[in-house]
Amino acid sequence: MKEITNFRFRIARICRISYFRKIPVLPLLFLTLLVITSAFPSYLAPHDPNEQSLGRRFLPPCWQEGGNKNYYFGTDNLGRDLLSRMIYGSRVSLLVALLSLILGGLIGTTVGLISGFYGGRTDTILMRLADSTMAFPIILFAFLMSVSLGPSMKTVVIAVGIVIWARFARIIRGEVLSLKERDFIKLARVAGCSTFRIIVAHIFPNVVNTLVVLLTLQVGWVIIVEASLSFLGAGIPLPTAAWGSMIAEGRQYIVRAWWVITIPGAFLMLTVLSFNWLGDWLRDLLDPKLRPL
Amino acid sequence: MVSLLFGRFLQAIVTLFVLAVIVFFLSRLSGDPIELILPVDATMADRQVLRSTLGLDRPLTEQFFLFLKGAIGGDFGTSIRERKPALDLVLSRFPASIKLASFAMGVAILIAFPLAVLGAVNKNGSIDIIARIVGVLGQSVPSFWSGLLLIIIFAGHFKILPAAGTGGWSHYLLPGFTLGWFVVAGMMRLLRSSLLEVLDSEYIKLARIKGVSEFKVVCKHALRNSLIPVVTFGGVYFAALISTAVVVETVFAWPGLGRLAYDAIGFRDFPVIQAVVLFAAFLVVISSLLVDILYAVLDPRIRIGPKTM
Repeated sequence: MKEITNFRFRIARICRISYFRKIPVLPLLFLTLLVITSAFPSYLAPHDPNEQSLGRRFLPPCWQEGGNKNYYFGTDNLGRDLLSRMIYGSRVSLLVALLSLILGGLIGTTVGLISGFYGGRTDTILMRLADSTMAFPIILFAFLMSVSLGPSMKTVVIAVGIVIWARFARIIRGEVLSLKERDFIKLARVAGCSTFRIIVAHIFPNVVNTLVVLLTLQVGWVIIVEASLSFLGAGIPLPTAAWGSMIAEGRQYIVRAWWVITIPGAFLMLTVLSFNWLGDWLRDLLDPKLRPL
Repeated sequence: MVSLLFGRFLQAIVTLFVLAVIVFFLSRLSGDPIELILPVDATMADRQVLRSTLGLDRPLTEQFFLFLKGAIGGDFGTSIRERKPALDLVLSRFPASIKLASFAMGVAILIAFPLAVLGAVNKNGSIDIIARIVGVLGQSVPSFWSGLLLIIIFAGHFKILPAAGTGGWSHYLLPGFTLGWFVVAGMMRLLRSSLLEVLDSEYIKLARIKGVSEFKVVCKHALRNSLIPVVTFGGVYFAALISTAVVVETVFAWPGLGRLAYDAIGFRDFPVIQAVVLFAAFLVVISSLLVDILYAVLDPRIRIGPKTM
């Protein structure tokens, strides 16, 4: 009796909690798989993503006739295996998202904390600056940067970071403004805490909830932006595999090889969908005030 | 309210100035612009002549002021590829973009509003589920992919709609839908959540108790109040619209500003990109100002100002 109840009991409990807490299991599973595959691409990708073979051009996915189980999702116009390219491409997308969110998040949170806490003229100036950068059309701005600095991962990360920090700053500042008046902050002041300590040890931990939700909500958007930039030629340059540029390359062969466009795009959509779903769930859990976003 | 608008106007100037600074410094970062313009076998003397003509041998701050002066006067330099003034190129492509954007906005409002209203009113009903799916999908699907899919389905498979270019009204459909899709999702989610909040408030309950018809309660009272957050985000949506338009115009070969920027990237035509970016920023700033005015019109509390509350 004991062995049966132990294992099945645990599984049942996980299912029950997932159901009642409405944990989005599907996106979580998908994203975990994605992160693992993108972290160890050389072990998991069946082929070298840049290995060309003109004899193997336009192999259809394995479930169609003419398909080859070795090249699961088929090959593109240069005979490169689509699955391997997608695995390496996922790495690019996730890396860009991570780096630009770290950049934008760091700058934005710092500005938000300072601006909200000190108020007055600092606040006005910083928020004016934030408003100025918030409404830049990101793609055009990234175009500009890629023409002057050359298209690369660094350019994309900087461009996204510049547009995104203001969103973080504005919302964190709002949180700080409402936290500032709370009693425990006043008590900390009375107790003799330096301003730095108050901000870092007292205000920031209360802001983390909102920060985490914001980060997860923005990931999907950043991934779409990176893919769009790669598609347009202003993002990660060829021949590095990136989902957007794979779709751009396959554009000329829409009719002949529909899988070159459809499959990477489908995975892109699933990834962004998973992040958005997860982000929505986290937001409802941690900070429902952000619902309009 | 006048002071508020004046503040917003100053804000607009600051935004444009910040962007001009960034654009200027980016242009100088990309290495010597002389190399981009002259052919490879130009002599040193030629280079020197061009350098002094373009004013590139003067101190940086002076160059910046010249750049600003030119920008305000409408001179953004000459396109490297087409040898025409960059602003002329931008202005000639602008009408096409506006037509597409207006169509897309029209489609978006026509779809988003009814979905949001019906979804919020029948919360968790079948329309609400459709609305939420549309909302989530719209924000998850990259526009270039949905555009290509639409081309495959409607122009490739069924062959009922043209795949690219301009022509008749049928050419507007595919790119318009692709462009509007993203806006639909965002607007619908925002309106729906705003409407849900408003429908819970006291004055709506009062109206219902008074016996006002449900239709009037929703459409006249609730809707007006829930439009405010949507309008607030209007400026941000406009920038997103411009960004998405670049992608959509490229996919559908639409002869607008986005396509111009894309071609310019291919040829590293910096003056044109500069002109497009600054022009787009100008549009965004103007639309934000208009949105703020609209906001003041919709919400009397803004008009009167905080002191009299």
